[in-house]
Amino acid sequence: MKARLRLGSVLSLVVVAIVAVRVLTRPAPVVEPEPLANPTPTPPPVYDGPPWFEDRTAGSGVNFVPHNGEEADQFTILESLGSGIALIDYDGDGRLDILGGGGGRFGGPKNTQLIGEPCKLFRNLGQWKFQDVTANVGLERDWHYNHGFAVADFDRDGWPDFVVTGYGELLLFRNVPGPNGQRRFEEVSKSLKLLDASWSTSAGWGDVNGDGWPDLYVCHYVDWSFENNPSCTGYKIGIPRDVCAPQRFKPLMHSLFLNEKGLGFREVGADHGFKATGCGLGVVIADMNADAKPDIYVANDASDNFLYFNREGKLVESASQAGVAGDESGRYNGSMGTDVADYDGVGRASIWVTNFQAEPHALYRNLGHAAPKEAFDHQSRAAGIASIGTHLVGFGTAFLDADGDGWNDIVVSHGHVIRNPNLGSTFRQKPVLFRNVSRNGRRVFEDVSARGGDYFRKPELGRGLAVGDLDNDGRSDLVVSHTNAPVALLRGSFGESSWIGVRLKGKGHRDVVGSTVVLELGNRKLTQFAKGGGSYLSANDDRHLFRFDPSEKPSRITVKWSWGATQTWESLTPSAYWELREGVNEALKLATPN
Amino acid sequence: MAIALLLILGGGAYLAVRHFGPPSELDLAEKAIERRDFKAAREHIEKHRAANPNDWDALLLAARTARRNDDLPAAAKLLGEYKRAVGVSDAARFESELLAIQLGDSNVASKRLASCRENLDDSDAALGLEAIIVATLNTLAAPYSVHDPLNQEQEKLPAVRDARAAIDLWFQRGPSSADRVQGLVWRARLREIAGGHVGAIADLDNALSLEPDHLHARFLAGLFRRQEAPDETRRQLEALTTRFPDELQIAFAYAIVLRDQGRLTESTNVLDRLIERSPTNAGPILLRASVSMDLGNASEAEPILRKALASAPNQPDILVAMGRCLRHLGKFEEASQYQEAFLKAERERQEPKK
Repeated sequence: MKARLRLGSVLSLVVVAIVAVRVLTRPAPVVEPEPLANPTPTPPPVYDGPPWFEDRTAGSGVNFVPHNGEEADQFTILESLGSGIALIDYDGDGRLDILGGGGGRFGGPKNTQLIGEPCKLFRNLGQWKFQDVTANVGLERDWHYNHGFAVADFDRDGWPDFVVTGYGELLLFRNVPGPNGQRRFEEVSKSLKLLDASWSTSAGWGDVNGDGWPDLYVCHYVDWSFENNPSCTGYKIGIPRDVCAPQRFKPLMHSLFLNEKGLGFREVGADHGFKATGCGLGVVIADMNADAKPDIYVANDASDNFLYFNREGKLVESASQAGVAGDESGRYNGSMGTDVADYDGVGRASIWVTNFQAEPHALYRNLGHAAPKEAFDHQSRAAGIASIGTHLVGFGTAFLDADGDGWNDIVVSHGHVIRNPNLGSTFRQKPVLFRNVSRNGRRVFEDVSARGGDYFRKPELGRGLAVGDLDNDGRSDLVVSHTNAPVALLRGSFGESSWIGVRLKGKGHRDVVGSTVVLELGNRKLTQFAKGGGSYLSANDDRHLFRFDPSEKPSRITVKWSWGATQTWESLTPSAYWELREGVNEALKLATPN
Repeated sequence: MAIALLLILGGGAYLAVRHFGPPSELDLAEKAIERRDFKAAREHIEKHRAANPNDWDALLLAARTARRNDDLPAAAKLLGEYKRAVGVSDAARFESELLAIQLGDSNVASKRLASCRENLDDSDAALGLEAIIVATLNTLAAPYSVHDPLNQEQEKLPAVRDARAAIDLWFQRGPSSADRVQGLVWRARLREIAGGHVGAIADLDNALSLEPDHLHARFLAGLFRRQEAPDETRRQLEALTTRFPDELQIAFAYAIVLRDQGRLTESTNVLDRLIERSPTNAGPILLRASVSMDLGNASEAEPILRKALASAPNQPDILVAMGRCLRHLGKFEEASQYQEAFLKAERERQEPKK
């Protein structure tokens, strides 16, 4: 019994020991955190307000599809570029007409023959109705595989002319009188020695040498041909072939054609030190260093971009030193479209560039240092541009005041160049609308595509994009070209702002690219630049549209002409387009039919 | 009788401690290894070895765990110690082979892969497959980095082919839950760099459904969406930064994403905390200088960059940032010099190594 008790005591001790050990060694209670939420895409913000742009394509009469020939499955880099749009009041009726690039296709027994698709001209009849006048104006012809346009009055007769770029040929069309007081176009490239058998993409006009006549900068792309047409494997698992990257080819030297008083052209690129180092896709010409001379910015694919400062007629390439050759890592981007604007209200031209996948579109803020120390800063991240992601491939683009607050917003058309993209990207892509807003005293861009309307919700193979006021209502409208899909007409419909529109007119139709226009309001100034080129393969309305709050009263408008003179006009009445003529103090109110 | 009682008491206490008491450091290490927490496992093994310096099995385990934790120098050192103490046993030979694979010996990897294929049920097969997969992935991209797509030459590398095969075998073995999650993360990394983005995201989502708090899976699930859904990336990194405040790489990635979205003040706050904890880490310092420039405070960035340049005079990213800073400050000639130095460094970087 005693032994049993003792044994019982021992067992009790063991039990106590066990309990003690368990209690003493029990880990402190741990509060398990809630498992982290699975990553699911954030739904886009809901917007119940009116769309900023209405799609007016249906019923407009513009039923036009640019082609690239991809159905032949040649996978050429040629088919990746697409087509552009030009807004041109060819008949002087005060309404912008629409010129669309047709592109091309592949034919012949081996599908290695290039066949141009026709460009089309649609005359603006008003009330968003257009008529195909291609044949009437002499543009029905055999076309080369064409891409884009640049518009200017090259012969200074007061009527807008244009060039068409493309593979193997550059065509210049002169605007001449037609039957019954109408206008038509006459092809004059050969007679005026504007000869370019290279692969031209975007082009821009501007008076580089200061003689009053617009010269022509032409971007050239790469040395692709069917004799130099490598087969490239796809960029993701299971894709045997896709379009080759531009790095597989050599860049071509760009051209600068000096305009010899409208009587001929002379190529002078080599005189300005041009080198075959950039696969050119976009060009914009404007005064970027406030010296009242047109400078040239070139967006190059897969190579450093160019910035030519105009030093008394001599172009000096300065992109690297000025900080606009590539991104903030110092490396090149795949750049396509471009534009310049005073986005931050300081009166200086900052540069905007649309880029390839995995690279944010580039916003280079002009730091305002005087020549020869001009400098820009890559502000894409600081300005919120990178917040849209980098899965998009940007092409046509423009600064525009879409909401009427006097600040430059941005629109970009997107679409990939390879058929089977990787890393979360897609072939067809949605356009993006950025709104320029103030955050902590800085100007930044917010993605407001959800407010853009139905068009901004649909993925497309976006390429050329042109901005202009098609119905003369003081709001910018858009015309966007898509590869193998209809061109879209978008009516700017947002904001009840006040507005003033102006067109600059030099004496004897002297070219005005490189001039600067400043509208003074109560306590701020809105600055715009007369530009050549811009966007991608496209030509915008050459008028300047200033929008501002109805409470703001415009007091004065000042033009710093590209030949150095300055001229002011007082008290222009809003809600109208005005022609500001060199040496004439009275502004001329322009006809603005709807 | 007393002796018997003492024996009973002692035995009972031993049993109690053994079965109900605190687990040994080696037990804890094994558990950590099971859940693939090699960092914690190494700490437990280290404690065990401090108390048992002649436990050679533990030394070998320490070498293996260091390797599996991607600390290859430590693994080599510990394995050397083991060989000097014990000689080249079969176990040491096997571990040497795995270390060679992770150091990039693709011939050894191919032979080991063949052996794994033939003996897939062997316990060693998992270790072999793991070494092959990790070696290839880490050669192609650091575990917490943005992955560049494979180029055509890389796609054809035997190591890439072997890694793909090893991952397939890994799943054929019917792995434990933790190993399955790890396999999904590996496959996601390989798919992402081989252009299989949708599959990569699906793998990561699967991994997270099995283990919602898997740090690496969630990090990559955020990071891989950085192109098409950067806001989602930011949200995930924000959550991870809160949950794993000591993970500096995550905090750094979070600061980068914040800056990408123009959230400069938030990025600055994260970077300042990061730099306070890791004052010599070049990445956060350079990014902090860049954010200062974004905010227009180039004069604040200049001394930071000059200090960074003093310790890494030919680092391209610092050179180009210095050029940017000096352009801001109007020091154009000096900016051009740094731009030239950057271009020279870039040329040298791109030249094929002799």
